Amino acid sequence: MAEVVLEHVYKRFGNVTAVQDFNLHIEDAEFMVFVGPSGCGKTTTLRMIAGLEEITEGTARIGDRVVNDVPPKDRDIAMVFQNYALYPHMNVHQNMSFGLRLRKTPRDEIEKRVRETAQILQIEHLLDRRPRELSGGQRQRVALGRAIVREPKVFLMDEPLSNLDAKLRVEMRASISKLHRQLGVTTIYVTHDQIEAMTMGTRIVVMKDGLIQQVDSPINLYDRPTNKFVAGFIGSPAMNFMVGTVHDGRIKSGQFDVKPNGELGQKLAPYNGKKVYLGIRPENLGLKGFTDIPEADNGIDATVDVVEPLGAETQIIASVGGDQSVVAKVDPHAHVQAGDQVRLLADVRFLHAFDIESEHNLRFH
Amino acid sequence: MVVGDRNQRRALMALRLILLTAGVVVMLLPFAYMVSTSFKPNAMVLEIPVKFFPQHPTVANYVTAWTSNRFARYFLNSVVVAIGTTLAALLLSSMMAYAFARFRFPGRSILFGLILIALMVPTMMMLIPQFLLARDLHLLNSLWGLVAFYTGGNLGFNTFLLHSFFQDIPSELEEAMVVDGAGPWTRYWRLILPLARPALATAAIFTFLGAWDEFTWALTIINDPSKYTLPIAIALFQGQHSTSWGLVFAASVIAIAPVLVIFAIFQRQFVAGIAAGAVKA
Repeated sequence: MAEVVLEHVYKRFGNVTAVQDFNLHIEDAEFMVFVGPSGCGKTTTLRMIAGLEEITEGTARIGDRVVNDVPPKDRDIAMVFQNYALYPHMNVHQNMSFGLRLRKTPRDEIEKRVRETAQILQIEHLLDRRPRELSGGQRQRVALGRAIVREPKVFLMDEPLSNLDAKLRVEMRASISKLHRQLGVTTIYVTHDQIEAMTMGTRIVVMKDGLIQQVDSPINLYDRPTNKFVAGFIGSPAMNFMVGTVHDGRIKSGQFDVKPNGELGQKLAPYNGKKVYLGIRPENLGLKGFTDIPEADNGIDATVDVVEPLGAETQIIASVGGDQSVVAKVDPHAHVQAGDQVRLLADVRFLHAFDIESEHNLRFH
Repeated sequence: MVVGDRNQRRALMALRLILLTAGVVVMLLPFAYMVSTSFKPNAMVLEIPVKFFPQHPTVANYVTAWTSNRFARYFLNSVVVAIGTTLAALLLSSMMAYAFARFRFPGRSILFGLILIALMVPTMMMLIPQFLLARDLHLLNSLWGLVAFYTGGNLGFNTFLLHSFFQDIPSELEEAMVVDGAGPWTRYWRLILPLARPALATAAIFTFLGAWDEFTWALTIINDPSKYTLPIAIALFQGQHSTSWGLVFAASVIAIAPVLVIFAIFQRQFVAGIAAGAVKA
């Protein structure tokens, strides 16, 4: 078990900079998730930690050892790949024990570890099978097993669930979290799926264009996004953004006029007369007459375009002037249909505002 | 409409069957003629009309062929040369193909290009330079001289064939092995070679067949009759004035047997290899 520290790490491929000035301190036994859209550099960073890519600049430490020039096999890491990467010509037992056999681990020790791991993952009955005789979920378990038997200091997982169907993904998500609690091994997990990130990570690194946007706990990323990108990336459906003008502590446009309270209200002062993005999550909007949110300087006039009843809630997509539209999660019993003029009420405690240029969250800057 | 389609389909199917049958006949007839003649007594060999099932079949030709002219010795020479060539060519070309497919080194594409160019040079043009080289290396009149040059001659094509197959092996598998602690040799032996069995089988068959059948180079460098290979031995059965065809054909049938055995062993993987290559190209 070990901490992983990256200091001023860069990765360049020719003229392209894939990762820039990456600084991160991953605590021992932490479950750290790298999340971001494709091409954001998350997998490249993971591969640098694994030793599959060279670090162009900066240092990487695992435990108290700088590993920049240490070959992958000596880094004491194990990796789980997106497409499982099981050796097709070996059975499950051979796949799991291969690394141990290369390291000349005594035979009975290998046997013991493979059996124990297979038991944890419930794949004991599959040990004699070849990968092609396994289902996707079983293959994924074997891939995890191959990493676990090695008893490494760090697990590296590169989108390990993205090839599974939705139901299995939810199941495996829970199994991996449980395994992490059981084994207590530092884990770095790459995904493009913000739900995986939110549900599994102790902390999450949100990346975009090779740059870290924010590192924080899931709930802090949700409540206190540092910029518009993080605000829009974390949460589903995504946060609504509308352009409005600041006027005496209020943000206004033709369709809405809201007055953020407290901290954000004060931060708006220097922006008087300027345009900002107003950010509201769909779950912080209610339909007048069908919500507990009181009406007080928080109304948004909108025309309903689409109504999506989901049972527990109803999602409506409504236009708010110009080409802007918002998504709102409203009471499932609200009587509303496409074409209706409605008034949405925003919960002013959860409003965000972002600088038009820098896209920083005004609350925290 | 549907009925019309069906008739058309039947007509096409019939045409296809006719063409295929014609092809099979063209290919099998000489073979059948060879086999049947090899069982005929010498006097009946050139009988007209041709009988494919001899009236008085005999194995005399086989006995004579096998016992005369140290035929068994030539057979053994051929076995040694063909197997030696196949092993050496497969080992070397798979290592070369692996290096070209997976490692980045200066001059890589130039070297690979040279290999492809060498493939296009006709064998006959190489005969004299190769002879001079073999002389300087003291490989004339030796089975090793055959193995060495047959191996060299097969490297280009095999490397090319295996290279494209190796390239299609997902690189994640190798990365998984790297993380598991395997160096390049382990990856080559325990991942690439086992996964490339169809391609290796294809290369093995082509190489074995090439070495087994080769005539010109063997005739050029081998003088000592105890070192003759089968193609030379079979040619010896054809006299200057008369040829005992029964004998020649019996010898040829014996010569074909090992090739059939090799093909039977590798057949399934051979077909897979050909198909895989086809999709890739």
